[in-house]
Amino acid sequence: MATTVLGPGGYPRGPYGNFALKRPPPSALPPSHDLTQLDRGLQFQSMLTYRGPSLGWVQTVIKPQRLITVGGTYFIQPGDGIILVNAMDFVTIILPFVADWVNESFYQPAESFDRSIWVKDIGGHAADFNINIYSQSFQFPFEWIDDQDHAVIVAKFGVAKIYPLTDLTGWFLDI
Amino acid sequence: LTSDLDQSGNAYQQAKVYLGPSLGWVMQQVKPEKVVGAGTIILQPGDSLIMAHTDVGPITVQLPDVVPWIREAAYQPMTGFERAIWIKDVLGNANVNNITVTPFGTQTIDLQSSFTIISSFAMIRLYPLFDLTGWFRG
Repeated sequence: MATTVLGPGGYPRGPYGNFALKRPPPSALPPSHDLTQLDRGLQFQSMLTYRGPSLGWVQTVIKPQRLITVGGTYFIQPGDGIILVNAMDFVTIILPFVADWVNESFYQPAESFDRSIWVKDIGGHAADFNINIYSQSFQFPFEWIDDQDHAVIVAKFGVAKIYPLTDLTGWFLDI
Repeated sequence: LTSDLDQSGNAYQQAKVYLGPSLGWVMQQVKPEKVVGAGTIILQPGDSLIMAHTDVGPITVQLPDVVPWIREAAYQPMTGFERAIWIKDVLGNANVNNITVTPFGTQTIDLQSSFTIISSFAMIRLYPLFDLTGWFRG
């Protein structure tokens, strides 16, 4: 009876070393509007960033963008970078614990390059539907954004650029 | 170049950036500067930080087509690091000699057909939208 073993890269190969049953291409196509995924998988630039002897060199995405088109609450996820808001409703963004964000467990995707979080009103609705950005100020260890529990985008096409403080007490705004 | 400290011919930092299996790892300049003067300027691949000299007359900066800017064919030089374009009134005369920034074709900047710098020493930072419809101000 033939025995299947895995060769380099996880490809199954026959007992005589011949590669067979090569992995099929991804079945899921990228969204039709997304012309940037030339190779069906990469939308943004990425680069290796050194994150210390434990994590080593980590592939980090440079300024990845996430689009929000409906109102409600969105919790920032690992790998987020720029949050583009185009919603005719109120949107609330919840930042993660800054310690989790900076200390960075060994998960994927890693935090984006430079670890900043930008929130941008690309629809021009922020004057009517403010975009609120909350830190973890409502539970221990009570983190802040420039000594405030939240920041608000109230201007059309406004942007909030938020960076973690390295003492892990909260975030600061680039204004 | 005055900033070419090691006389290597490279005045700016560079970083290796991964652009996918087709293009692979490419060397990108980090914030390379380009000085422009009065008139109309059409930005080229590799342009990133535009230092506008507004002492002579108004300046019009024409942005590149955002589609090839992001899809990035295998040309050299590559687009600058993080694909952003910054335009700075470095001499402080933009209140007199405005800097008008115009996107390519029907593309937009924050849904507008153009953007004008009218304040002294002001700067605009542009980032391409992932849906390739234009740029947003960061």
